[in-house]
Amino acid sequence: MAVDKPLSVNHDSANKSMKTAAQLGFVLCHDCHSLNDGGDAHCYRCKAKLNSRQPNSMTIAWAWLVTSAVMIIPANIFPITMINRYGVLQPDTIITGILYLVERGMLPIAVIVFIASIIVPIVKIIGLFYIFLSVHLKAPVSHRNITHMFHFIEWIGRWSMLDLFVISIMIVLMDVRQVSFEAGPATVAFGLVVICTMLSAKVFDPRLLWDREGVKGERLKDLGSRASHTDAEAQRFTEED
Amino acid sequence: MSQISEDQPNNLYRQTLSACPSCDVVMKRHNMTVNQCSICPRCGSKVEYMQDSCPQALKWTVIAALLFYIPANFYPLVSVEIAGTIQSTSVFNGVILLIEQQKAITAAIVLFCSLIVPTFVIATFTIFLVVRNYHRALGVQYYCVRLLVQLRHWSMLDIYLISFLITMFKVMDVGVVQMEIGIYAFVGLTLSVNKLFVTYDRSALWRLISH
Ligand SMILES: [Zn+2]
Ligand SMILES: [Zn+2]
Repeated sequence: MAVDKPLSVNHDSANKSMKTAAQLGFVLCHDCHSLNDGGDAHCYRCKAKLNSRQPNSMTIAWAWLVTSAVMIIPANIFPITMINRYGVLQPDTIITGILYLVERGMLPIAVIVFIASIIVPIVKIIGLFYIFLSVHLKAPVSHRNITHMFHFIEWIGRWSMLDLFVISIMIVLMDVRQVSFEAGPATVAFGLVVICTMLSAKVFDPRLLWDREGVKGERLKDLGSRASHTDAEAQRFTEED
Repeated sequence: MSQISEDQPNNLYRQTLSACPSCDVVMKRHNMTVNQCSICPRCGSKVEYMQDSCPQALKWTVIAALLFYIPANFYPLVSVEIAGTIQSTSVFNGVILLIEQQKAITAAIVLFCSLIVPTFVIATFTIFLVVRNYHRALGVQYYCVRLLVQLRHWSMLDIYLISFLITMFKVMDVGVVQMEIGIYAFVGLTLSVNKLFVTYDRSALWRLISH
């Protein structure tokens, strides 16, 4: 990638003089990322509905996360593939499938599948649990680090789908007379784990994390009911630093 | 960001300020040049990455994706000869076989991420380009951009391609693998869709909307 020089990284300025959009009576449009007046119902640019924070973000995010935490159990217990050799059915779970790859000397592939099917889903679920809990518990943690962790989980989420794709290709190629390859019941659970964790990360609003920190003592101003600020206020803010 | 032109004077803050989508902190807007990335001073998240996103390149990338689309999805990707039997696979075949094996939900997930979403992405980009070209129907342009921003996480062509390579290594010691025309088209499709998503991200698309 070419030079991507950060424009405004000055950690010194990360102090109390920083104000959030909610505190200043602004709302950031979720769709086009333009700044709007807190009193407006729709974005001035793209006409999308405005919400200062994603509504019911925590509740929905928890619901998807708990679903995926439950589904990960059948995903690992039940067979994900079944090889039919001359009428004898040999079921393989995710783990035994990986061990079989190691046995056959395909270590690099075994490592890739292990990371994509076991490490990533578990890291995602535990990571999201940790992030959501720190929103509720107001734990003294670095919000900066948690935000980075959240973006990482957001980015890596889709890669767990790898094993499911491998199976969908395998069943076509290994459809020979005596030997056939079948998708097991765990594929459904595994697919749902991936989808649910992705949805959980999608509805979670990381700004909730920062709301806890930014307004220590000082109450968040009534979001949405403020339509009074003017150009002068923005001007004053811009001149402050 | 000088494109915002129809502002009333009392909405000056729209040109001078912006907020971080990850932590909500308000910051000044900077005039960014190509390949510059703005990072939030409070949470360290990437706020915007300015890229060379010209409409001409968008047009050619979409045309490339359209050309690759049919052979990539419906032509055989590879064929494998195992014990005298030749099997070939396409994206579509895998889904059909999953349905035959009573795994409808799995089939739906694979179909959604590897075929339906990429189809929607290419179709939406095409509609956006056509409507934009005639400077019409702002509502349609907004809708396309919003849809594309939502779809980007769910298009998994790149993952499918990697899965494909893994499968090839897995079956290599069982049978003889032969590349078919579909795989070249699939690589082309994956590259062009990825190029679309990387270069034409949320902010680039909003800049491209024409009145
Ligand atoms: Zn908007
Ligand atoms: Zn931020």
